[in-house]
Amino acid sequence: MSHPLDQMVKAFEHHLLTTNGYSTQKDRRELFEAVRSDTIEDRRPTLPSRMERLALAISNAPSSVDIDGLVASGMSEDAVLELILTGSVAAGVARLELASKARGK
Amino acid sequence: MKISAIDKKMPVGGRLKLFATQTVVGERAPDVLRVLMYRPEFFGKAFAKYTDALLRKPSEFTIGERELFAAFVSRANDCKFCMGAHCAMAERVLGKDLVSQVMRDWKTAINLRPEVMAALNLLDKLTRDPEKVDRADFDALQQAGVSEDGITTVVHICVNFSIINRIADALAFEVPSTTAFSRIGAVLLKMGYNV
Repeated sequence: MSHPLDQMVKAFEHHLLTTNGYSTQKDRRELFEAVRSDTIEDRRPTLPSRMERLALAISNAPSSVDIDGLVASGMSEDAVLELILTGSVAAGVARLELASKARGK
Repeated sequence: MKISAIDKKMPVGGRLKLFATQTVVGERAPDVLRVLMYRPEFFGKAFAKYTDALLRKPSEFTIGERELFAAFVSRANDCKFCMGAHCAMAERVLGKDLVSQVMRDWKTAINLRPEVMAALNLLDKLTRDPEKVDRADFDALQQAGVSEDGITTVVHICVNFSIINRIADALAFEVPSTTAFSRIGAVLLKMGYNV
């Protein structure tokens, strides 16, 4: 991936997964991988139930993301926002990977 | 919008930019801008720069065509906020009839360049059935006359809107009126996305 647009995506993917925030890096990495594998391999994620529901909702029906439920379970709004941003980026990155593979890149 | 912290804890710099936007546009600053301005170092700044590079920098696809692609992906994802915003900009450049045709049934739309038809074909598949995309889809773009760089642009419009459509719908962005979209679109066409 050497095109400047590819590099921009990789840069903010890396930042989302490695920077400190309100959510843990572990949660962000697991969610990212769950959304990615749901898109690329159509593989249902194996995560704790609330995170699994979040991954599937972001991947397939984002308007069904249960923000109130996540906050009620003890997450801060800022942590939920970070997870939604991370999961959404994963859905885009998965498409970039699939397109790059099909192009032989 | 479902995350109340965004408005409650918006930093002063963000509040000033939102106020400036509201003053210029004459409408409430859209929710997408609020998300990008809230903790911009975490995501918003880099994503805005990416969007501006994709939709406003020189390309073999015109700005109107790229806005049409953005609206098209948003429609495939059923994201009313992004579809409204990018349809408004595409309509200003390409005309309402053409944009309506593409949104209604792109396969029967007339007056589209072969390059644009080929791009819409890829965008449709990569958005809805990404695992089914194969080499033949990209060969079709090349045969229509799209360069490697142009193909990369098309792929990234799908990538970008696969991201922002999900954010918009997960956070339940407020959908402005058609008039408000048109005003916001006029400003974005002039000033770009690099907020």
